[in-house]
Amino acid sequence: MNTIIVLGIFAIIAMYLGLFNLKRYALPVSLIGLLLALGTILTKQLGNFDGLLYGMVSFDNISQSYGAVMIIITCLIFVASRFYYKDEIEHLGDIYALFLFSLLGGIVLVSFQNLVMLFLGVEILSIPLYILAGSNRRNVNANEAGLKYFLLGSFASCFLLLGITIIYGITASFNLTTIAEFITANGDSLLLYVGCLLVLGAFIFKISAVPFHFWAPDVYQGSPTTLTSYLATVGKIAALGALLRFLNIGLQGIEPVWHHALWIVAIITMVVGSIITLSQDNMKRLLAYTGIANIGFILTAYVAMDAESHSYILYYFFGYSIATIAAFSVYSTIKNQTGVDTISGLKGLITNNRLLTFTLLIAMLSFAGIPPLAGFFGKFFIFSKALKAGEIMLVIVAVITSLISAFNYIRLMTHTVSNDGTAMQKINLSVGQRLFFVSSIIFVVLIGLFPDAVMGFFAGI
Amino acid sequence: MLSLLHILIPIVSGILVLMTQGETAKRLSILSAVLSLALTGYTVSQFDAAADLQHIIDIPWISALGSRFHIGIDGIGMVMLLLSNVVALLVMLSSSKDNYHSSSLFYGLLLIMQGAMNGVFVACDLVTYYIFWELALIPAYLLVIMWGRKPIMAPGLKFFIYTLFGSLFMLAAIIYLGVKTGSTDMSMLYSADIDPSAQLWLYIGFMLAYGVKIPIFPLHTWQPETYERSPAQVTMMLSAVMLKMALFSIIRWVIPVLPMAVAQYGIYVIGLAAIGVLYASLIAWNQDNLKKVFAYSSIAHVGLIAAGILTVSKAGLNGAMVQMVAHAIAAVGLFYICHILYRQYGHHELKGLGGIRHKAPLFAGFYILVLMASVGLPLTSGFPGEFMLFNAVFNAHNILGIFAASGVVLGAIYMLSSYQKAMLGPEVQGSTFADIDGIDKWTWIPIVILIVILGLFPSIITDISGPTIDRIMDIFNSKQR
Repeated sequence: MNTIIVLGIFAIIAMYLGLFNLKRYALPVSLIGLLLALGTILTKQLGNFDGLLYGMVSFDNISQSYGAVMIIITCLIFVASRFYYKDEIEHLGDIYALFLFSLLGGIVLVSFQNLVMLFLGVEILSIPLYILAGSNRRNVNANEAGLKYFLLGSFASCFLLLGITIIYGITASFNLTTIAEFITANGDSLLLYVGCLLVLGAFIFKISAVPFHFWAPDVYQGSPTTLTSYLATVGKIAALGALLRFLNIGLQGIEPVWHHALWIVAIITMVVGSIITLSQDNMKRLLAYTGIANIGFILTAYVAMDAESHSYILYYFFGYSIATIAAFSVYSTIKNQTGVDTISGLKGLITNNRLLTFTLLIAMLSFAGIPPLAGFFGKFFIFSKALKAGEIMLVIVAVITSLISAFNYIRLMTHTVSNDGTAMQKINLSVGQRLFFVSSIIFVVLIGLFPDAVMGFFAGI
Repeated sequence: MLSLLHILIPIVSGILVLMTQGETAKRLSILSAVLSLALTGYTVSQFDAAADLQHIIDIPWISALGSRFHIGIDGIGMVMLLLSNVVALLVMLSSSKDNYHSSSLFYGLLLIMQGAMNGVFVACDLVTYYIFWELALIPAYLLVIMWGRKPIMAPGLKFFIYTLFGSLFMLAAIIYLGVKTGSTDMSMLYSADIDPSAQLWLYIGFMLAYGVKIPIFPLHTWQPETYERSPAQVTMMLSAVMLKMALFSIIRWVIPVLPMAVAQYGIYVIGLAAIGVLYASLIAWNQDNLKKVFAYSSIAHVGLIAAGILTVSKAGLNGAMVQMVAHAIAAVGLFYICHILYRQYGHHELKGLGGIRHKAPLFAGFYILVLMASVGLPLTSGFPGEFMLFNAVFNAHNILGIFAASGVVLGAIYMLSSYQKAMLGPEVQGSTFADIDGIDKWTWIPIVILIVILGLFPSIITDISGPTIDRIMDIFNSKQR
């Protein structure tokens, strides 16, 4: 609870900084806020607010570890945003404030114990993002992105509400534990299935799994890159953590229903995500479909759910997020200075820009699941879980689609290191950027080399 | 600690080399290769052939699958380390007259590749092993793509995708083994009894990875084009060391862990390999590009080694160890010849060569010696290993033995005819050819010495690897039902 309070206070401070023309302090202040919030989680200074909210939120290990990862990743995105928002200082305070509010929503979301809090969390997370998606308001693509995201997001919220209503209608409760008790006591019914599937649909939209993935490429492409990397990482972890709670605590009694639904979604998400990527030339769209394919792999872990699954999912997504942020910041650095935003435009990048190329290579190799990078052990754990659970079919599809997506990443790599005379101009990097790229490479390698340590750290929170 | 240093020295110096430039990179990498070889020499002098694993480092790593970071050196690993580090030094030396663009990257990647391959040879845990196996692929791929002759995109992609395709099936097999036996450690797997019906599928998973890498017919199609277009140093690394990783892995992992599948289904792979020997030899005969002749001859030679290994006989396995080293030396020599020709003429088409022998007697002499070693003339390094391998394959299956033996006859034909076309006959008009001199000469001398010594005393190799081979055969035989 203290985490939420700290984030809220600092979001308001950031907003006022913008008002009093102290915009350049917005980023440092927000970072301090994030570190304080992370500190409350790590030192377990959560405050005792259980009675106050009638048990509507519960701060257990899932909520704390997912919250910590979200805050760490937001920190990285903020640091990277320093290079992105350099010239565009208008409304800077508001931008950081909106990010902090959205993060606050994410933390509510992964802590929900009551379906009302689920809805509140989704809305607090999303509304700032709708605004941010269109924040680049002189750009046509950004306007399209903002409007599209808002309209489709509202639809998803409607489904979510309808689902919650139906579940309430049957079980007469919003509380997850009560719902679970009701299901074990009274068995299931068709209407309950409908309610649960509607809620699942909203989740599928939020994590951009097939068939509700169509918004992702357009919104990613049009939004400011900082927001895109936030959407692709924090936005999804929050929904993944909430989905975990919803299924694990609330719907344990009707496991076969969501098991089958997610099985189908996982397979089509992996297949569609990896195959459509083959035809993408725009970097941001490629990364959007990469995200979709990766969500497919993660859903495999939901299908083969057991008591340890949440830490594997978190590990996978943590590694994926770091690589994604690295890739997006390489993209925005290149785009800023040369205007190139396609894969074929990256030809000969390595000749003059070795660090940028290596960062991109490491990110791509991590996506492709090449050891010893973070992406490898993520996939490794999820495959082994699925094999243990006897989901042979899923593993076969996952292996084949990994190979197809690996082809995409290798295609990109081949362009960057290709050597047919065209060399990209030298891109100037500040010391801060160099440090950022080097440390993201080291981060991806370290997460990959010490999976036990990383998971142990999160399990201990 | 010695085993870890074999990995760390090349990789750390590779990363250091990445930060230097030009000539410094070249010198630093030669220095690192010398250091690695000295380390290997010291390890050999400390090596106790009768004992099992030595210089062990064993720390828990990934609890979920019972995987450990477990490395150590046994007899076969020792031979492979020796091979890898000798070849790496020869490769560095052979490039000392070349000026590759972005040379720091070139040498840095070569060194990282060497370190990763050393890792494969010392790994005693399947997950540790798999990581080094894949780690070796990335620098290899970058080297092929960045310094290969155009058009290199398609062959480079094919190389990577083929290899990754095989590796993913191996990964699935590794995970299955880990899940079923609760550990991926060598000692545990050697004593584990794996369900006979599962063994077939695991065997297929492993052999797909190795079949691509070796390559065994019909998974070989990536190889000739990749070899031909890569710069000579990369081709040397690929053919002399990287494919040996796969042959070595069959001995280390497949035979003792999946003995029943090998006993039952090994003969099919022997069959494919034997057909491959004949097939590759016939194609090599018809090539008009010298480097492609050598590439196809490599398929034929390693096909024979693979067939010999899968017979799981004492002659086959010992022969394979000797022949792996012999083939590595011959491959370095042959591709070095291509490289010297390419440096002077800018191509290696047989049509544009000829009459070189008069102009460069020393070069011609080295060429004919390497050629003799490659076709397996007695008293050269190629003979003892190949002889043992034939013996093994022939004992396993008569007809397949004849198939495999055809490789020797055809090998002599196509190799000698390529020599005739390239070195004898009329001179090409208006061309000059400078004979070998300077550092090139000094690089050739160790190659020649190795060819002669190995031809006379193959027991240098079998003394080191023999006891380990015996142990593996014991495990194999004791697990048959």
